[in-house]
Amino acid sequence: MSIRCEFDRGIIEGGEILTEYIYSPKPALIKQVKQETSDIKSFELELKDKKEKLNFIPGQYLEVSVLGAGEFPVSPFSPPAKGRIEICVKKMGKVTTALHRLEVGETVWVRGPYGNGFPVKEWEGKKLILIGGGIGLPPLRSLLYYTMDKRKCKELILIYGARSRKDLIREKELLGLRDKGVKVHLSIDREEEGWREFVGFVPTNLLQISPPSGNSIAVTCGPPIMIKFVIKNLLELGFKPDQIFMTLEMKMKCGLGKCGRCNVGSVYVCRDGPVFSYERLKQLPPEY
Amino acid sequence: MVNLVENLRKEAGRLLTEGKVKHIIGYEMVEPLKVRPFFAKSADDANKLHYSPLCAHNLAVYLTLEEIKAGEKIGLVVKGCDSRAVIQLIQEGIVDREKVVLIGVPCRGIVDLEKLREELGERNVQSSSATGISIENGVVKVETKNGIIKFDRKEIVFDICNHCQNPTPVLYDILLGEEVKPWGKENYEDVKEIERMDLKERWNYWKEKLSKCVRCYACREVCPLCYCKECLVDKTMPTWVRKSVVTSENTFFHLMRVFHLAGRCVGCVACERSCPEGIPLSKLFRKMEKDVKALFDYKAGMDVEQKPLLASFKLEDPEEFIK
Amino acid sequence: MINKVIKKRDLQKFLRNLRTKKLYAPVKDEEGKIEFKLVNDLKEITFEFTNTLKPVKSLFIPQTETIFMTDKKGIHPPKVSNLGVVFGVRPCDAKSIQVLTKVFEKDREDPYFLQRKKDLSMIGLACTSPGENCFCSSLGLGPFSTDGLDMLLADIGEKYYVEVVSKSGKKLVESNQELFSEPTKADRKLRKKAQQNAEKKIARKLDVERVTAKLKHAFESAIWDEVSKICVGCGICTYFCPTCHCFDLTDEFLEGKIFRVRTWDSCTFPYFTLQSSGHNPRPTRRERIRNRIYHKFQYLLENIGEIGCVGCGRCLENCPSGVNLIEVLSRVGKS
Repeated sequence: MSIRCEFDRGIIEGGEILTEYIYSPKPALIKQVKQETSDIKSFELELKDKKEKLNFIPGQYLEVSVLGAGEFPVSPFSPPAKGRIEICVKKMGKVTTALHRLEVGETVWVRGPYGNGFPVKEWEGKKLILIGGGIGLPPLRSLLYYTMDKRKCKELILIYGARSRKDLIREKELLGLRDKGVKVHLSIDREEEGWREFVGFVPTNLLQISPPSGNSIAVTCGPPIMIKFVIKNLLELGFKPDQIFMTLEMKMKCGLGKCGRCNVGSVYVCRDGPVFSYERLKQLPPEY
Repeated sequence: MVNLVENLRKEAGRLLTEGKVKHIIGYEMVEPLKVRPFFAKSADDANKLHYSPLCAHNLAVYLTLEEIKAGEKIGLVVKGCDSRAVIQLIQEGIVDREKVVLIGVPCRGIVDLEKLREELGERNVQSSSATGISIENGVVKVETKNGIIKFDRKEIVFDICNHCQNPTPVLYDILLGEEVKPWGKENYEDVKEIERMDLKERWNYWKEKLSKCVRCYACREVCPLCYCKECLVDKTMPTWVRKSVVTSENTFFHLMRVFHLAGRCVGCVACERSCPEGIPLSKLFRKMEKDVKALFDYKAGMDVEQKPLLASFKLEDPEEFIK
Repeated sequence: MINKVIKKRDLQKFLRNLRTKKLYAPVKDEEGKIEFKLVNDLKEITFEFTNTLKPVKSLFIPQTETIFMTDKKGIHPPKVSNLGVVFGVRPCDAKSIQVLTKVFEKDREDPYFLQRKKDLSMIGLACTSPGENCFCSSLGLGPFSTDGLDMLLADIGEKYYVEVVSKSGKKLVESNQELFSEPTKADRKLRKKAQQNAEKKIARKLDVERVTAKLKHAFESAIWDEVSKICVGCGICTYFCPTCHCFDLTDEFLEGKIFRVRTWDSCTFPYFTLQSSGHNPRPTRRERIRNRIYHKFQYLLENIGEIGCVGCGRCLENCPSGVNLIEVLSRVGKS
C-alpha cells in the first residue's frame, strides 16, 4: 500500500476522531451586505450559535472561510461589541471573489480572533493619530470607535485617503465624526470636481497637518509604500519609534505560527503581530 | 579531455579579462565525481571552470532565471542538447542572440553516476577514492588512488546519449575541440517499449510511476523551456491543479507539462535527472518528440530562424480531425 | 536505559509480532529508492540502506492530509492515525520528530501531529556505516544517538544490541520477552567498537556554534547572492528535509464534499509569500534561501531552542544544482 498516493479523506481505519481540531471555524450568517466602493464590500456577520462569542480587541484579526474557496485573514471593521461583527473586504483573489458573490442569508465560517491587537490599555490618556490609506481603514475604524466609546483618550485624529473619491470607504460617515469631536482629515490623490478636502498622498497630508508628537501615539495601516513614507514623515515630525505603531500584512494561512509562512525574522506576524511598534520593527529584517 | 579543460579556461579567461561578458556560466568540480553549475566572474574564477563527462546540467536554464540588462552579455558553456535549448529560447524571443556568447563543447556522452557507482561497487572500489574522470575514443577512464579503471562508453553513459543526433553544439561562438558525430541512429526503443503495452497496462505503468511524484517541481525548474512567470499549477483563479499530492493531480501536472512542451522539448532529460523519485519522465517527453516528428516532421531547437511549431502552421499540416 | 540483545533470526519473529499493529519499514522500490512502507511480507524489508529517501516526518505530517470535511450537515473532524510501529528509523530522523514536536506543541497544540506522535512508536536502526553526506555529529547527534527513539537496534554481527529508551519501547520488549536476552560483556564491547567505527566514518563537519554566532551579522552578506545564483528554486531541499514543516491550507471538492486539506509547501517557491496585491516580501531566490537558512539556524533556535537541522545530508544529496548547505554555512562561519 502506498502511503502517499491518495490522501485519507479524513477516514482512517481504526483511527481516532479528533475532538479538538484547531483549524475548525464556526458558522456565521451574513446579515447585511453593503457595496462600499467598486471592489470593496462590507459584510455584517452574526454567529449562528448565539451562545458563541468572538471577543476581540482592535488590531486582532479573524480567519474567514468561504467553504470550497478557502480562507483569508481580515481585521474586523466594527469595534468589539455584542452581536454582529462587520468586516470590510476588497475583492482580490480566489476567496475574496467568492465572498463577494455571497448574499444576505448565506453562511461563512469564522475562526479567531488571532494576533496581538493594539495595546489600548497603554494608550489611555494619550492622543491618538490614526493614519490610513485605501483598504487599510478597517482596523483603524475599529480602534477609533472603541476609543471613542471608552472615552479614555485625550484627542483623536483620523487621517485617511484613497486614490479617488469613489475609492473612499464611508466618506460621509467619517466626515460626520467631526461632530463627535474627532479631527477628520480626508484626502484623495488627484483633483476632482466637488472635492473640498486635501488633494495629495496621505503621507503628504500628514506632513501638512503636522500633529505635535507630545503624548501622542500614531497608528498607521495601509499599502506598504504608504506606511514607508508615513513612518519617514512621522520621524521627521519628532515622533519616537516607540510612539509609532502599524499593522503588518503578510500572506497568512494557519494564523497560529505553524505553517511557517508569515515570519519576519524570528517573529510570526500571525501570532506575534500583526501590530508592531516601529521600535520593534527596526530590530527585524526588512522582509515585509 | 585535459586539452578541452585548458582551452575552456583560456577562452573563458580571455572573454572575462577583455570585458566581453559580464560572467560565464559553466561547471566547476566540487569533488572528483561531482560537478555543479558555476558562475565565473573574473579571470581567477575562469581557472575554476571545469568539464567532465559528469556535466549533465542544462545550463540554458540560467538564461531564463536571470535578467540580462541592456549592454550586458553572458557567456554560457553548452553541450549539444544545451545549444538546442538556447536556439529554442531564441526562436521564442526569450533570449537575444546578441547577448549570449556560446562556448560549445562537443559532447561524448554523459556518464550515469548511479551506474558508475554500481560498477565501482562491484569492483570493490570506493567512489570516494576516485580522483578524476574523462572520456576519449569511446572509453571512459576513471582515475583512482589505486589505478585507472576503464569502461566502454556505451555501457556507462546514459542510454539517451547513445542515440543523440546532435552531440556537437548546433549553435556556438567558440567550439572547444573537434566535432563529434552521432554514435547511432535514433530508434526510440524506450518509447516503443511503452507503446507496445495495451492501454490498461500502460495506464497501470504510469499510474504507479506518477503516484510517486512529490510535486517538488524540480523537473519544471531545471527545464530551460519552462519559463512561465505563472505556471498553471500556481493559478488559483481557476484552480487547474489541486494542491493535494494525489495521483490524479500529479498526472494532470505532468501531462500538461508534456503538452506545453510539444515541439519545444529538446530531449536533454534534465527533468528526469533532477527527479528525486526516479520517475521516467524522459519516456513521456520523448513520446511527444516522436509524435511531433511523425505528425509535423519537426525537430525543436535546430535553427534560430525556424518558427516555433505551435506558433505557426503549414498548409500541409495534418487535418484528419476536420471532417 | 534498559539494554538487551536479540538474535538476528529472532528479530524476524519480533517484527512479525509487530505486524499485528501497523508496521512501517524501509522497502526498496522499483527505482531503487528506499521508502517507509506499510509491510505485510517481512521479506520486503531492507536493511541495506544509508537512509530512506523521504524522512520519517512523512508519517507524522503526511504530505496531504484532511483537516476537516464538510457536507450539508456541517463541519466534521477527521479520523487521525492508528496505532503503529515504524521500524528502521535512523537517529537523525528520530531527532527531527523531537524538533517538530516542539514546533507543533508551541502555543496552540496541533492535535493532528501530536495524535500521530502518541500512536506511532519508533524503533531505530543505528548507522553502522554512515553515508558520505552525513554530518549528524556536528549537531550534537551521532550515528548511535537515541534522542526521540523508543528503542535503538545496533548491528553487532550475530545479534542486535538493543537500547530501550521509552515506556513504549519497554512495553514492546516486555510483550516479546522470550526473544530478548541480557547482553554479555563481549556484546557490550562489540557495541562500543561499532559506535566508534561509525563515528570515525562521518566525513563532513560543520562548526555549528560558530555559524550560529556569525549568522547574527551575516544578513546582508554576498554569500546569499552567490548561492542563489545556482539554485533553481524547486522544493527538493524542503520536502526531503526531516525538520522542514511549512504547509499550505486549501479547500478541495471531492464527491460532493468539501475537504480542507493541509499539504506540504516550500518557502523556496516564489508564491509562498506572494500577496494578492502583488507585493512579495521575498521576491527573489536570494531572499528565500537566506530566509530558509536563517529560519533553521537562528529563528527556530530563538523560538523553540532547537536547530532545524539534524545533519542527514538529504538536501545536498538530492539538490539538482549542487547547492551544498554545509559549504554555505562554513563560508558564513569563516566570514
